[in-house]
Amino acid sequence: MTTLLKKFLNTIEESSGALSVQALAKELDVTPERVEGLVDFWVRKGKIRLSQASQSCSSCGLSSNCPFLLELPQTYELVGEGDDGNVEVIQPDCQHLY
Amino acid sequence: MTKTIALAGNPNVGKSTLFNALTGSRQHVGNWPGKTVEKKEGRLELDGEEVLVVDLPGTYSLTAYSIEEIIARDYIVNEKPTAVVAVVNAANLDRNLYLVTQLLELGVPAIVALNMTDIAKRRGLAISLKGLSERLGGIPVVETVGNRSEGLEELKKAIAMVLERPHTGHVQPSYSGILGVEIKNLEAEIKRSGPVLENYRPVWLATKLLENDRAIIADLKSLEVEQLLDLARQGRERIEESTGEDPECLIADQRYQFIDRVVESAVERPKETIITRSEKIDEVVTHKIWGLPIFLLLMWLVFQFTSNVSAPFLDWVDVFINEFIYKWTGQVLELVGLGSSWISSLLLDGVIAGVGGVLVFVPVLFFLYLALGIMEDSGYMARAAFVMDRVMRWMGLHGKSFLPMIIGFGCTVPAVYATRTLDNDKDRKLTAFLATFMSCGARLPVYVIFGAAFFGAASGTLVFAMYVLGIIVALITGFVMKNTVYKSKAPAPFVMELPPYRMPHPRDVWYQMWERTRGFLVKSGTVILAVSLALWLLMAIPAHQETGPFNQVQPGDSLFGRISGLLAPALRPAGFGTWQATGSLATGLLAKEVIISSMNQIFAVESHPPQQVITSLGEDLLSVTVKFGKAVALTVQETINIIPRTINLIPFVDLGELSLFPEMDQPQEATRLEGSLLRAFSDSAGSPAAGPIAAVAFNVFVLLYVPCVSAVSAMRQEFGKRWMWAQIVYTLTVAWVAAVVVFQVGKLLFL
Repeated sequence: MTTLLKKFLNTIEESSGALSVQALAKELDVTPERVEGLVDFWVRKGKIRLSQASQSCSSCGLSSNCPFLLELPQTYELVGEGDDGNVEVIQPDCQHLY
Repeated sequence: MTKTIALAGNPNVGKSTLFNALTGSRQHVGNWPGKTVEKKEGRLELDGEEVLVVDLPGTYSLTAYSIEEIIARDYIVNEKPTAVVAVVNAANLDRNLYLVTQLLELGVPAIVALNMTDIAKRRGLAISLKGLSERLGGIPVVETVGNRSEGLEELKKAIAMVLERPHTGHVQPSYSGILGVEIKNLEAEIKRSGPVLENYRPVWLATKLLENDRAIIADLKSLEVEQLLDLARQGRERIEESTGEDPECLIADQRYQFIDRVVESAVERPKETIITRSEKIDEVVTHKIWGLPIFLLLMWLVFQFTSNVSAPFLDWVDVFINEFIYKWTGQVLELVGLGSSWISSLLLDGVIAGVGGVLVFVPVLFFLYLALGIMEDSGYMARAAFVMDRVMRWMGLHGKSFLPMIIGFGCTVPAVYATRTLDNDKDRKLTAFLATFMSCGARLPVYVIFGAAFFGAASGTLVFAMYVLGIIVALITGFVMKNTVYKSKAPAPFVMELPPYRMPHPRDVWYQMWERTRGFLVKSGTVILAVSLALWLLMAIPAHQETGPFNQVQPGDSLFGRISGLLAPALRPAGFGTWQATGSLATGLLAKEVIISSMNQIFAVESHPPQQVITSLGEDLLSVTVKFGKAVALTVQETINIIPRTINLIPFVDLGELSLFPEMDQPQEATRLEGSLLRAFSDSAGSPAAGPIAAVAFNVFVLLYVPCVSAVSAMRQEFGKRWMWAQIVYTLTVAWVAAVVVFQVGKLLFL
């Protein structure tokens, strides 16, 4: 008996490249919202790590108006050995010259 | 005793908006006892009775993995609010009902506020409130749109009703198989334990014990219920033995099955949703074979748009700054008796030539940021990273590495910091190294001015070629390093959220475009102004006394000219070994746009002031206005002409282009800087025919050589001095070799 949660992990492990949430949902025959729920579960358990480039800059004064920050997608990946699995949100300590 | 309601919900479902709408200004903000998490309380008046409203931290679940979850759960279990309002995103029930399911298990009187129903309707979801309520055991379900205060009165009525007659959902996931058996065993044992466990609902506590919930187990240890804890441990072991699964996964899985049944019977989905439309587009756009050519075609279109559509405005701003402002500032200085003073030289050849030379490119960046804004807002940018993942993997690199590299198209500094998304130190260093080859926005003015001077209408192709070359050099560097000094295991797979495609929202695109252009303007008024003033000073100081007095020295004999001249021979094999080119490249280390402001200053001082026809201020103003009108018309023309130019990429197809001003189809007179560049590069390359080849070589050098000081400093901060110097040496070497190859091979092929 394999639960949906386990299938989710297996599908990522066996993937040969990047997967989109939609492709993963299709593969597991669930909605993309359900995939988000599965991600929530494994993030809590520390098996999946989220990362996303921050949409605000901490020190150059422009904050979220930094013209050089692009809105990029959130990604999830399996947590490797020695990784604490914490969500990492990047806060670039920008040193723009203005 | 004051009745209390708690607001629970996932993050970003509009819980705080509803809290504000319910409580108005009667709020108190503090911290949860002993925690740094914000606690918000407010007062709500219902039928003349005051009710305390507590806003719980946003959580996806009521497990014990985060401080927010523990706070929310402890509050519900220990403080026992009269009712809980579960704020749910109607457009994402699959995810949001997980928390509601846990509230049902807790047996707390609940109300579901089905928020964001406007978004759900736009997505074509038809949710039956009655059906949902029935499936959730009869708890009230109310439709709300928090940000428009819609459904607020209905919600208040539902709250009043539940406060009057507290009602708990009579259903919850029916745990089956061995899980169900073990839950029943534990439930019976809990009931036998008597008042010591009366704070907990037995079935909920049994589930938590089987989930191995550490916070609950720690609480129970102090209650001396060792036998119960032993039974729970044995139960977990039996489940694992029988199913091979972690009991917590099994419990979550059965909760999902319960949610599936609820959603299936209460929600009607459209046959074709936005998601499926997006999927259809993605079948083409992220296709294994077509994905990359489509990405390249879109990039080509972006640079055609950026270079050609902005060209009429670029010419207009050039005329406005370098002729109108320059001329009339000179006239004013003459009037006040400063016509031939050093102040006049500082203002005209320093400030206006330097800063003005860069401001000319505001239209170019404006159109670049417009194109990028449309790509971002439509949802394509995420696909670009997804498509490039395959290419990255072919080269043995981590697919996620392309995310920082995409940021590098804007600026290298945040790209270096964005490498923190990679957990492998080797991948981080390598990606930061590669991100410096991505052509940042600051390098664009250089390509545009050289493109216009040497390639006319084909300038967009030069810009496109530079961006693609940056990616190719980065990939080759990555491939070589990954297979030599940075050998590591194969990159791990990952999942990427691809937002559904949507029509770009003009207001959002405008905001992004304006903010990004504003950043450039601020930079022009600070860094570029400072560099322009410093450069003017260095060009005013004679290298030797005999070369002339201060501010009357030939530029080549100035301190700046002589020092730049020392380094120039190194660049001769690349076709641009002049002190002017070398000096501009040196100043470009501060910020890449400075290359253009420096060239404008150098050539402004070198060239004699243009022969000006005597015209009045009124005539000049009229001329500038007429030229502006023409620029607008030409911008429309160039936008339309992108279509035939794109179709003409197909071999043997040659569609005609729209021409609103046929007289302007003749080769246009080059601007002052363009003319100077044509002469200077033809001289340095040895012949006018070799000039364009030297110009391309110069652009290649600008693309690949050391990034600006901010980026170098970011590299040092992130990876240390050694890595910073390695990068400086490597980029200089690659840039020099590539520029020399382009010039020498180009001469062999085209001359």
